[in-house]
Amino acid sequence: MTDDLPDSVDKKQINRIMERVLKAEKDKLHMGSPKGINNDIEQIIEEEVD
Amino acid sequence: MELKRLEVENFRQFYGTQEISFSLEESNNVTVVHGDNGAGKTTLLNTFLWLFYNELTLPQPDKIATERALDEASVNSRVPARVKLEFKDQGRQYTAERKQVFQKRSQTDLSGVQVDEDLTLEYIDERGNHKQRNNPKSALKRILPQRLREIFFFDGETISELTADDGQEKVQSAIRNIMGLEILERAIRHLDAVEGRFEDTMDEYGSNELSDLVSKKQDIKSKIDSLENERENLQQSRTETERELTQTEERLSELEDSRELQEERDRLRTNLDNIDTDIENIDDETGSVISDSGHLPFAMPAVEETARMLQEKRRKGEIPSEIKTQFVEDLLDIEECICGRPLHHGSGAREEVSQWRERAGSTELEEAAMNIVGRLSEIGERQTDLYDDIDELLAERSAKRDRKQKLQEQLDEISETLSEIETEDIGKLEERRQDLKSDIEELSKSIGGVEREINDREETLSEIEEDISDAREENEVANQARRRARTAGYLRDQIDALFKKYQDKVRKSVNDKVNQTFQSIIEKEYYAQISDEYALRILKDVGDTEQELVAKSTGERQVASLSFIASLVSLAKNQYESDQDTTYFTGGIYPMLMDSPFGYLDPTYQRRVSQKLPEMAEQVVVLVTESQWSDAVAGELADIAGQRYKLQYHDEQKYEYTEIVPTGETY
Repeated sequence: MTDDLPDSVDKKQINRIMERVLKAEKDKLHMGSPKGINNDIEQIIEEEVD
Repeated sequence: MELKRLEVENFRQFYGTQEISFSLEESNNVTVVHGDNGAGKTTLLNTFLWLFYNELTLPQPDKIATERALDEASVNSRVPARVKLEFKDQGRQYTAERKQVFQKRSQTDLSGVQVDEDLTLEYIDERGNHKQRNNPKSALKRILPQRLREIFFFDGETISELTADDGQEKVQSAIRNIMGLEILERAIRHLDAVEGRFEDTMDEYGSNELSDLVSKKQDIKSKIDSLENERENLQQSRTETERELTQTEERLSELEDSRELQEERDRLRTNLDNIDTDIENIDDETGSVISDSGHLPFAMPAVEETARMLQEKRRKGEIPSEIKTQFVEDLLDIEECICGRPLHHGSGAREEVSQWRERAGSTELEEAAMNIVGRLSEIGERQTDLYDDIDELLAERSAKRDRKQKLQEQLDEISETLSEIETEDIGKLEERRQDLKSDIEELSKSIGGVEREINDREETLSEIEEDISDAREENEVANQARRRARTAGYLRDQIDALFKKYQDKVRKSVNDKVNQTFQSIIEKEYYAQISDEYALRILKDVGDTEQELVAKSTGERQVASLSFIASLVSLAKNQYESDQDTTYFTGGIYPMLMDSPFGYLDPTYQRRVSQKLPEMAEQVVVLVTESQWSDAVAGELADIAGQRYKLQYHDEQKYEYTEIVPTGETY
């Protein structure tokens, strides 16, 4: 369990990333195997964390 | 979601076009469909599964079209099988339709071969326009998620499996699916995978290469410093030796017996220096000549071949031409030949003169050919000049070298003569001079060796610095991947904590609701409970504080299972209608479609379940056999049920089929 916030992001940013990740999951929830979801999440994190 | 009307055509045993209008009124939200065993209740349930998910839970799932329709069709004709549903979801009217078309292959073919299929989802927008959803398959799964189908469309006779010892997984799955936990669970799993991807990038780009390179660079720089110190010391020694040599030669110039020879030596050496300069100049000039015209000998074979070809054309009279194109054009313009004959348009004479144009030479072409011939001659002359120039320069250089050798010999003679002079000082001075000269040559060689080594090291240093720059870039990629992996891992752990907390909260909410519904139906002092392990259990009080598991009858298990599903549907509705919105769970309003919900219930439970049915969901569809339609059920549904249908089963012919018949009765 990682309790400490990573140095490169702040709490506000983490909340935003979490919201985007959960939204991406929700958009593909109707799919049994959500194709491309790992790519979607990878891209979200790449966009948010430089 | 609100079901409005179902239309079925030639689907499985439903022959022709059949329809059901569902009860929608708040006070009459139950639709009852009667059907004996085998009449088509489960098939009716499957119309929804087929329409929404192209899925059937029936035997022979590939037989879609009705046998009677295929029997009546002629060979090669087509029979459509179709299910259409009108419904409302989130305030919008939809019409979904799945159709498959089957072709009859032979007189006895009662299955047909599928030749066409289509799925459409039409909706009415805010302006009342009918529009089609682009991706109906996904849209339907979003409206009624496939993973929730066992909750909304269920078989009452097998629903009691939820309370079985191995039913925890189904209970947990149902809770996760309908209460939004699935999103969190998937996010945890996918973030874990993404963290792994970033870690792979770290492994790929992160290495000890950079520190190794930096260490190498330090070693090389240190070696270069050391070599530069060595060079400086050698240069200093050479300067001092040169100074001593100068002093020695000055002394030889001062002494009476050696002055003349020393002066002669100085003069010869000046001449020698001049010759060295001349040889350097000759070498530079030779290089320059070769650089400018060195290509000519290589080009000459092609030049000679071109010249030969042009000579050949000239010999044949192809160039220059006897007649010029412009001359012919001028004659045609003035319409008169040089012989005086008129060259009017259309005349034979004009035609003949016109043909000269084909044979006439172009002035430009001839000029170009003449230019080329001129240039080719020039190239040949330049090659001859090149050979002459180089020969001359080589001869001059050879003469200079001969002269240099002679001067060197003269210098050696002077040195020898001076060494042989009996006067002690002069002989020693000359020997010392020779030693110093030799030392200077050795020092110069050593300096040259050290400088070459410095240059080699500097080249290596430059390459290492480029490698360091590349490694730094890769190191930055690895560091970036490390930051991203940490973020993914942190998020995964945060969502995992959220999942556990929310799952526990959801389990408690479902537990309370299940027990509340269960106790409102069951007459004994029993409790329904969702355990920490997600087992759906029935308990009873033992003393004031303890409870123990009771041996469950099939009827009690069915009530507990029904209570569980009704609780989930109710909680999803509450969440949808509440202001509390989360990204991962927005809830929803769903109907319940139950096949034989009264199967194992005694009359008392039948009555109580019937009382509770309208409260279980916004809309309830009940499929029952006549035997399940007891007085107890009928009595309770009298005031609260809406539409009622009967599945009329026919087996009097060689095929079986079913019609959906409104009973004309509403309760």
